[in-house]
Amino acid sequence: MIKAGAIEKGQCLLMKDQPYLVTERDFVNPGKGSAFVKLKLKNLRTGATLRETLKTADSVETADVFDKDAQFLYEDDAGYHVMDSESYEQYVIPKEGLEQKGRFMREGETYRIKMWEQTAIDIVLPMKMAFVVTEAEDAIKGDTVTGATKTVVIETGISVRVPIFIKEGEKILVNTETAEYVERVND
Amino acid sequence: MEPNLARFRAALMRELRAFFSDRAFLEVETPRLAPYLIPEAHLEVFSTEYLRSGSSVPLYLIPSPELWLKQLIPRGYGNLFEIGKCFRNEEQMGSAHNPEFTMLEWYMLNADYRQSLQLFSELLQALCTALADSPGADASSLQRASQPVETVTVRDAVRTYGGIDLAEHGSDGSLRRAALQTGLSLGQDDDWNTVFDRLMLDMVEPQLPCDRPVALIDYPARVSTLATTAGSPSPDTAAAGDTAAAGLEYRTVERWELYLAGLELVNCYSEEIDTARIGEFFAREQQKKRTMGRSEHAVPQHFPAVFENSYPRCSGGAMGVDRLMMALTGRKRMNEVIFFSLSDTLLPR
Repeated sequence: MIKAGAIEKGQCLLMKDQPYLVTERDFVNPGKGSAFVKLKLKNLRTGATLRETLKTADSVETADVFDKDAQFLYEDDAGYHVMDSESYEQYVIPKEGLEQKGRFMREGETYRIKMWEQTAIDIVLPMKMAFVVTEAEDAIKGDTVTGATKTVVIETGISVRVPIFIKEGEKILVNTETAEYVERVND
Repeated sequence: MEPNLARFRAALMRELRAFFSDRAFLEVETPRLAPYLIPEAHLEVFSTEYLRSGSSVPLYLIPSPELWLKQLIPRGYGNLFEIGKCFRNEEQMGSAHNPEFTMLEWYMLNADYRQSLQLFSELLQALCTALADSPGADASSLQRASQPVETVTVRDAVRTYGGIDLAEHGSDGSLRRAALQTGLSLGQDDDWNTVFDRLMLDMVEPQLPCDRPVALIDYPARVSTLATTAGSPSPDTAAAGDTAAAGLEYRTVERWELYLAGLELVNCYSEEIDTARIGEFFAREQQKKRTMGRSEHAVPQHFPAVFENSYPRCSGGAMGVDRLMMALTGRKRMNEVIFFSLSDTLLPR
């Protein structure tokens, strides 16, 4: 338990039996009233956002959330199956709220996962990841409009808007939060 | 602080002084260190000690200059103002808080809170005109600050933005139930004042217009302050049946708070000058301080007596200068408009 007044951004809290990450925190102290802390929280299981106002003297339970490395094995209806890289223990992470990340994951690759009470609850992807372009139409000759783009498919099967000079077989960096093209990678 | 903002701040300080001096308010300088303080339950104080010939005397950094300015009024200096540092401990370092901050406080004699509001409206107009060409000026922020002040009663604001009529919910339980129905999450033992604070913080403040100054006026009398209770019965002091019978009728005090750009900027009263009621306020706040586990400090026992012998009717206002800087320059964080915030100067933990 900690006092709400001591809550820091980035901390994990247990609220309504759910683990939450503190994404924003501000203090408000009405001139003639008690002090409050205003929080913006992200549910680590569902991704849902919660706003809470607490008295700084209130007690809040912290959630013991930690990261570890795990290999992504496969996905099915139950969720994403991963294996702890050290203990080889296997976990299933429910897909709810993680669909966007799932579109960028490659089987056999190792990612950081978040653990809470013996269960894996989240996958932490790097902000930018490199992918091979598996399908791309050739640029139309004479199309010299600056900033022109086309849609290509990357190895995990999803579509990304890229500049027209990108060719099939090339590697590109993609922002995993926005699914936007960042740059071409030269091996 | 960016150099242009520093220049803007210096110009703002000059204009604040010019405005009050031009209206025959006398600028005074009172002590920052005090051997006693007005008890205010929600404020935690900074303590230090004065060492003299082997013994020590406890001293406190003032949370506001009210203690001194109210003692100066009967001495015949006329209208007063002071700009100086004030100190509030446990004031968390949020976007609009620093434990040490600059406060402007004024006292207008033979005037009430509405006359102070008129004065403050004129101050905003004067500042926006005088600072328009200053380095660091933000035209759109100044434009918003120069709009006519919109005045809304607290009761109307809570009704509009929270859907609750404060006058219909006199008891702790009744207001708590009404607030829970609107979806507010509350603690089991939250009392009327805590629920009122939450309604203001979560419902009213986020929805107040930001494109002009807004004065919330006529605060519920249950919020303990040194403001006078509203004199003549107004629609806002009318009590509904059951509530009146239970002695929980909705009464208001002559107080306003002004919001600009989403910031709580000014707090102003028609000042309480009744010795007995000031004594009651002292007793009530001291009791609450003990209950809340606040640090003990000496209290000026002579203070209520200052108001005996025809103390003039007056209105006092206090404004956070750093917040005014934020509002006039369009900045969202206080540490952008002060030279060294405490969080910047503290060593990393």
